[in-house]
Amino acid sequence: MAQKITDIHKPIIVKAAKGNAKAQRNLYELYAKAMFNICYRMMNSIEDAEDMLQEVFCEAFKRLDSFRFDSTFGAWIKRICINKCINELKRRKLNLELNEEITPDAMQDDVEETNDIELKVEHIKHAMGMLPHGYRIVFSLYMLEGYDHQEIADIMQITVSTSKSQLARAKKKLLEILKAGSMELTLN
Amino acid sequence: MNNRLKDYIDHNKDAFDSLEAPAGAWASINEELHGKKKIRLSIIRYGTVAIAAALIGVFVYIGVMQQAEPVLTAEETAMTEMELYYITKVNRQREKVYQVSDKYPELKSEMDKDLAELDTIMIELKRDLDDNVDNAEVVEAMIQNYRMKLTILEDIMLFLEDQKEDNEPTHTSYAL
Repeated sequence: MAQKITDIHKPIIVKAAKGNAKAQRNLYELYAKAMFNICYRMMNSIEDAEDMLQEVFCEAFKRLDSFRFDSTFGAWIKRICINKCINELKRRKLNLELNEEITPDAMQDDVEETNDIELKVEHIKHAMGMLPHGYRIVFSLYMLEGYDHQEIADIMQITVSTSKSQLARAKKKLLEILKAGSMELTLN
Repeated sequence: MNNRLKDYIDHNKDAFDSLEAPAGAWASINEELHGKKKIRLSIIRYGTVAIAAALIGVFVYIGVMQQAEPVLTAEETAMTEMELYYITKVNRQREKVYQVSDKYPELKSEMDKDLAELDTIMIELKRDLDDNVDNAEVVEAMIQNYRMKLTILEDIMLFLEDQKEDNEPTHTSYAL
């Protein structure tokens, strides 16, 4: 039997599930910012993120009566958000580059070469935007949304090892971008 | 390095969520879920009817009470100040709505109708108050009447602002 989660927003959620517009607005205000940022990371475009945000909340509110408090509302809507974005990317037939497996040696951390990179949020965000779609999505799901490889495998319908390899490649690529960026800054 | 990267992201998680949701998004969602303007208008309409019914109840109660027991006393100046305060606020809000509701004549006439209903109730209340300015129930009913007007005007304003945001491009530029 699934464990019931006590959600502090349960009274609002229950009202919203009955179609109460004020409660729905309250929930929207609580979660819109977080969902919009997730949409942006997934879609890599402000305009697409805006469209997805609208679709996510419409679907969430339409399906809210099926929410059984087996997780928090936040986790539930986040999953809707991620699934919607992935489906949209797949619909556009974007190459998510999810078929490659990787050898263990390629997954080693590049410690010597990257320890000197100064990490900054804006630089990392910028570098994430430059990653191929598949890399960016796995990187976001693992590093920012807190999913493990099994969960990512379920979400993206890939194997756990593919998820691991995509993440390793994504990190490597991201560090390369950061390093190139810092070299550029040094030269300038 | 990768642990360093993960640690850094974990410690700065909030900074990665720096984008604000677009301002007009809720209006679109609300519209898709609940349909357009008519709903808001009907809420206002039913709200007014409900308040009107409540105020009529107050009249009846006051009538009974006036026969049964002497009313309380209050300062006439306080009453004037209260009226002045609400009338100014209502007029200012009404003016704001008028300035932005040109494209919605139907909305404007609905609003005028609702406010006129409340004005009629207010006349009755004032007539009651003429008998005795100390009547706390009448004063309370008058305050409620003013607040209802403000609520109607604020709701309409909110609706008009939502519509305005809907019609404006809401794209945010994002760059390093």
